[in-house]
Amino acid sequence: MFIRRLPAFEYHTPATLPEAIGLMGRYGETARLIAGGTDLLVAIKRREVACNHLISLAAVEGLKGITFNDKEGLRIGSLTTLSEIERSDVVRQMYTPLWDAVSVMASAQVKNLATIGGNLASAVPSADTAPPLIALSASVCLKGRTGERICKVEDFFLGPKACCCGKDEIVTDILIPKPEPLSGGCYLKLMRRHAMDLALVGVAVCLTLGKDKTLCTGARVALGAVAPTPIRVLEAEERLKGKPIDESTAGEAGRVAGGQCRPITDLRSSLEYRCSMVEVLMRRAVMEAGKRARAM
Amino acid sequence: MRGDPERGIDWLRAVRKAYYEKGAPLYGRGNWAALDIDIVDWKTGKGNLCHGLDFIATAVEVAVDKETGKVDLIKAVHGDDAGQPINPATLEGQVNGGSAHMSGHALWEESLYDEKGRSMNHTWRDYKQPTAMDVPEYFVEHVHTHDPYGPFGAKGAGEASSCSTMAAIANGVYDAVGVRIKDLPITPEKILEALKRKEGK
Repeated sequence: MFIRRLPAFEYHTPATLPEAIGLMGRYGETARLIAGGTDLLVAIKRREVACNHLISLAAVEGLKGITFNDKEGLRIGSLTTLSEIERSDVVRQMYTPLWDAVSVMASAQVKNLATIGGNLASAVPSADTAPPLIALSASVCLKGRTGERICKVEDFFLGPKACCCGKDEIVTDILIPKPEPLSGGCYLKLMRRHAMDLALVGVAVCLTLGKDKTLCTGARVALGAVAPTPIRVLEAEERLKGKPIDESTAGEAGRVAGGQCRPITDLRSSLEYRCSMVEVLMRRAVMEAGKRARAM
Repeated sequence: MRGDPERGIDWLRAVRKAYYEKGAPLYGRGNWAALDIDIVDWKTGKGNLCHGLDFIATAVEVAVDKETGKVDLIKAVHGDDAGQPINPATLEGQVNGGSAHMSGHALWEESLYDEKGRSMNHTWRDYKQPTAMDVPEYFVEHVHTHDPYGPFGAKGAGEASSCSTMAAIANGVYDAVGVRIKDLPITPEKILEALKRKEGK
C-alpha cells in the first residue's frame, strides 16, 4: 500500500529494437520495458509490479520524434515525450484533440519524461491520450519477434492495465491518418482541480462537416475513465452523422453517451456523477468540435 | 552594545563580517513575554489571554459551473490588520499562503476512511491540495495599526486569512447558485445535489 524503496533489479539498455525484443524473450515474465517510467517506477515502489529486469527503450534508435506527410499522415514514435507532443505545431493545428489532452496532463516535470507509448501501454482506464487517439482514428504499430502488426487504438485495450501488446512485443509508433478537410475535434477532461489530476471523465470528439459547413458527415466519439478501458461510442456517433451541429444534436449525443458509459464509484467520484458529467462534457465537446471544424 | 552606547558596529558591517570573515550566520537572542494578560473569569467569560489578535476581511470572487458543479476561484482580496507590517512582502505572502491553504480545505481536501478506519487517500494522488492553477489572483491591503504589546507594533499575521477564506468561498458559492453547503469540502457533487433538491422544490 505504501511507497517503498526500489528493489534491486538489472537494468538493460539495448541499442536496437531486435536486441530489446530478444531481451524480452530471454527474461520473459521477470522483465518489464521501461520508457519514461512515470507509471512503472511508482508501481514497482508500491510493489504492484514485480520484476528483476528493466529493459530501457531510451537508447533504442528510431523510436522518437514526430513526422508528418500528406499521404500517410502523422507518425509519432512511441518514445516521444508528452512535452514534445505539446510543443509540436502540427499536432496543435491538425490533431487538436491530442494536443488538448497532453496540455492538461500531469505536470511539466512528468511530461518531460512520460511517453505517449507508455501512456497507451500502461492501459489505465483514465489514460488521457487514448480517447483523442481513438477519435482521430489512430492505430498503434507493434513490433515483435514474428514481425510487425498494426492495431487500431480502439481495439488495443483489453481491460484495466491490460492491452493486446504481447509479452515480447514493443509499441513502436502511433499512426494517425491525415484529417479530412473541414474537420475539427476537441478533448475535454474533467478533473477535481485544475492541474495535475487524473481524469474523472474524458471526452474526445472529432467531427467532419459537409461542404456547406452545416451538416455533419462524419463523427467519432470516445470516452475515457468511465469504463474498464477507453471506449468508442458508436451510438453517439450515429446521432451526430447527417445532422446539423447545434445544441439539440449535441445534447442528444450527450444523453446517448451518458447511457452508454459504464463507470465505477471510487473515492474520486461516484458512478452517477460520472454518467451525468459524460452527458455535459459530450455536449460541450460536440459544440466546440463543430466550432473548430467550421473554422478550418 | 547595551549599557555602552559608544561601542557598537554598523548592522551592515556586522552582517558582512559574519558572512565573509567568520563564515558563520549572525545570531542574536532575545525573549518577550506578555505580562499583562488577564486570566479569563469563568463566571463572566471575560478576559484577554493573548495579545496580537489580527483581524481580516476577505472577499473572494467565485464562478460556479451549474452543470458540473465545479468552483473556480477568480479573485481574492484581503484587508488585513496585522498591526505594523514589518516586512510587507513577507506578510503578503503569509496572508496569501494562509488563504491558498484554506481554499484547499474549502474545496478539495478531505481524508477518507474505509469501514475499518484505514485511510483510503493517503497519497498526493487522491488527497488534493490546490496548485498554482487553482488559487485565485490575490490582492492584499495592509491596514496599519499599532499593537502596544507586539514588537515594533506588529501582531500575529497570516492565520486570519485562513479562517476568513473558507467562509468567503462558502458564501460565494451561495451567492452564485443559491445553495448553502455546510460541510467541507464543497465538492461539485454536493453542489449539484443541493441544486437538484432546490429545483425539485
